[in-house]
Amino acid sequence: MSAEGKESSEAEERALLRVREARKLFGGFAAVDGVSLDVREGEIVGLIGPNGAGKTTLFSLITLFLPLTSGAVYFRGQRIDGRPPYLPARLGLVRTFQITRVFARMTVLENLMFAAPGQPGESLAELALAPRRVRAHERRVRERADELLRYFNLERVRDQYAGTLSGGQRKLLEMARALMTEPKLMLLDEPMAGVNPTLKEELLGYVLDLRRQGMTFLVIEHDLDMIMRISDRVVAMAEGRVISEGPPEAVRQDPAVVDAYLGPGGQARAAPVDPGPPAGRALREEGRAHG
Amino acid sequence: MLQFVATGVVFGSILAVTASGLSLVYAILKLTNFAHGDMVTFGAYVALFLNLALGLDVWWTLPLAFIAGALLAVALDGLVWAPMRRRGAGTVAMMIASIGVALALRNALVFLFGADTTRFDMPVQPKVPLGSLPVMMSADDWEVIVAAAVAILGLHLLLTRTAIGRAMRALSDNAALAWVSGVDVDRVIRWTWIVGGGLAGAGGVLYGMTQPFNTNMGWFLLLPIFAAIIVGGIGNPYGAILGGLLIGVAQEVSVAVLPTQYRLAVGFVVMILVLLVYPRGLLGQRSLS
Amino acid sequence: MSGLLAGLVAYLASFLTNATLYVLFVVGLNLQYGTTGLVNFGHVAFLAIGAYTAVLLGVHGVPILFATAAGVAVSAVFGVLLAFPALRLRDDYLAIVTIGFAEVLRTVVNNVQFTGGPQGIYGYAVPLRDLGLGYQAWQWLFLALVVALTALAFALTEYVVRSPYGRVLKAIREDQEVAVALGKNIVGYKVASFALGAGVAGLAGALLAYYYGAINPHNFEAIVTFEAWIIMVLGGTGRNWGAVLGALIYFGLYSATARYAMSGVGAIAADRLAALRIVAIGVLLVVLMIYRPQGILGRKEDLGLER
Repeated sequence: MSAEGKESSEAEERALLRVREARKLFGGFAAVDGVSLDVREGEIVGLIGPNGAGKTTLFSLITLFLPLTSGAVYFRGQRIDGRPPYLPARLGLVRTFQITRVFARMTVLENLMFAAPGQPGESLAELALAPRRVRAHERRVRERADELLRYFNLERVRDQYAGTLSGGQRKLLEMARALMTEPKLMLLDEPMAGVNPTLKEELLGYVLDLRRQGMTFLVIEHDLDMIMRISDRVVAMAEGRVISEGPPEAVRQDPAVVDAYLGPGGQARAAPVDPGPPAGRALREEGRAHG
Repeated sequence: MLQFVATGVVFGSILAVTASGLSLVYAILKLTNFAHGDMVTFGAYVALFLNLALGLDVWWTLPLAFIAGALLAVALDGLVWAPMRRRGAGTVAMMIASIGVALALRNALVFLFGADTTRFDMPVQPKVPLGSLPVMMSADDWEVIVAAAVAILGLHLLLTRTAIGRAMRALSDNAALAWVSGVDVDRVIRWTWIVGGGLAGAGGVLYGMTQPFNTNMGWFLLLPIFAAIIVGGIGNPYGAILGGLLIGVAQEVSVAVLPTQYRLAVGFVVMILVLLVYPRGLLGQRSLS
Repeated sequence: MSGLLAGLVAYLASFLTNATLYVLFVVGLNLQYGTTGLVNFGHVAFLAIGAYTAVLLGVHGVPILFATAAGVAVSAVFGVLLAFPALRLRDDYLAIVTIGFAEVLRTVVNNVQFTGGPQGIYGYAVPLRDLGLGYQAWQWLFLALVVALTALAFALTEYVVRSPYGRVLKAIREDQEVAVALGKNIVGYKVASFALGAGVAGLAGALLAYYYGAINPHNFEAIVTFEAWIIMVLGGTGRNWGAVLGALIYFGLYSATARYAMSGVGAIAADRLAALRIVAIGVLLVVLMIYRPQGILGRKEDLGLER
């Protein structure tokens, strides 16, 4: 076995998430066209690229929202593509959405408690036969939820319907709800989109703090300054392919990336591109239609 | 057997007329209108009134029933659908409201005309063989098919050759885009109701020309109509035409093997089978263009 | 005077029984739609299945208790069958499929031999009737039975809805994709919700059959489903107490106009007035949907939160 092969297999062992040659065709159009990437434990990996690059579709493929046309997804060494879409969250892989999707007519607390894994009270048999076990577990879940509500400063809205929250509070609730699943890896889809500068700093603080506690992140973000600040590594996509990968500064100055954002011969400094909800909505609809 | 197919084509062309209107309304307004069948009944009773009380020939009532159906649809939009759109009502709330409209409309007709089965005053025409085929059809049967074909051709020309038709297609494809590119949405909605309600009203007259009817006719027609638009792909008026003929023929042919009472159930079963295989209909959804 | 009073008392018993049976029926619908968001426009089908199953088994010598339980079970099984399209279909398709199911079922019941066809079935055994009580006393006793069973169904569904299980059902109603993304396998929940709701409706159907003493296909027309929807949305969807309030208001209005619908007013015949009453029901439904879709007990915040 060559030294190089050994090194890469060691890297693969450390990789929490491995995507290999992922392809997704919509009709004849390749939204994701042979993407491979690794996310290692404890990393924050930024995923950038202009609109239509296939970033959100890639998220949907990784979380099994959409079936792959070809390729493979491994999480914690286990191949997961082709498995049911509720599996990733159970293994510790959870995502948030570009346009927040809270359970509007459930309270904030209910939103959080719902997401806790392994609840005996989610079975009718246990409800009937072991109500005390259900109650005891429920108490623990509530404590964990209250802890997260304190952490995210959402205690005041604990018993309000999530549909009444402000945009910023929804972002926090979505992140807290994802944490309730006890994830190893969080996929954040444009956490900073449509967020005011103060809240941006706050969200950034949460991401960095959670990383200190051992969380791993893969983050789609259009705010390039933000992504450069938090990422250990950046992957740039355009037209369904990975066009550049490496340390943030290197990717930022990669001519291929500059071209992708500004077109060939554009100015050197890549400007943040307006994320614009319509593309995201179209993808969501695709997800619905295929789900 | 061929006789059943022929009867099926007559019934299917009536379904095609009524179903294409319902599908158009869905395409533009995203409203699943359970009152559509009762708008068909309304058209038949307008014609009945003109025919019996004023002695008008049934064929003359056809355009008048179209106009009456259109007026009713526009009025209902002003009373019910426009306020609901303004308040951002959800799809389920709109469906429930359409059930309310259906109940109110049907029973208003019962109040005015009674629930007894009735028929137009028109000469009974002999069924004559069609060439050397073992098929008997009356002149009325042929006229119903021709009238349905004319109505559908009119719809096709409206959608493809007129500015309002193009605006309808734009709106059904991408409401947000149509909005920003200056499509007069209110005008499109008004025309959608004129066409949808008009076709319903005219379809009611055609139905009444082929058989006796009562105030429940629209309710019983609603299942095959929905079956037709689902088979053809909801929101696709052309699919609804195909679906209408398919369901019409399937229902009549079933009479060869099943008691006639199950005729309406056959359309439903075809619909379920199609849904299980093609959850979005045979011709797919959202293809006004 | 005492005759009038006796009449009133008897009327009160029938009013309360009807209203309570509808509460039970709506408790099932509320679990399906109010809690889980599954649009069931054919709920009356489960009422019919429960009624016919219980009565037919009773006629063939099965003890009433078992016949009633079978009515619940068979309804629930049909609920499972109908849930399968529900797993894949959008709201509007599901509404059409369920309405179609109910209409087809009624057509079948109307045309096969063993259900008695259009004449239906009558003269079957009824619970508590063989105790030697007079009809009035039986009415009140039977009302007590209906109230007890309704309270039981009410309490059990309340318990489920407030449990972690119910939390999953509500999440499915709000956004089922997100529920899956957070690790829940929702298939079983949707099927169970539909089946449980159908079972409750089956119980209501069996009790209804016992109360009427005769059933025929006319008792199970589509209007019954929509009466249940009115009761549910009047009180506020997703709330069992809303069903109670809705049923009381609906049957209150219904009774207040019953005299005219039965005897007619002046020259206007009774059947036309009955039609006018349904016009009023339709208008009520429309007005509710425009101005207060969240119902009487619904929170103001519910408005606009529905997708």
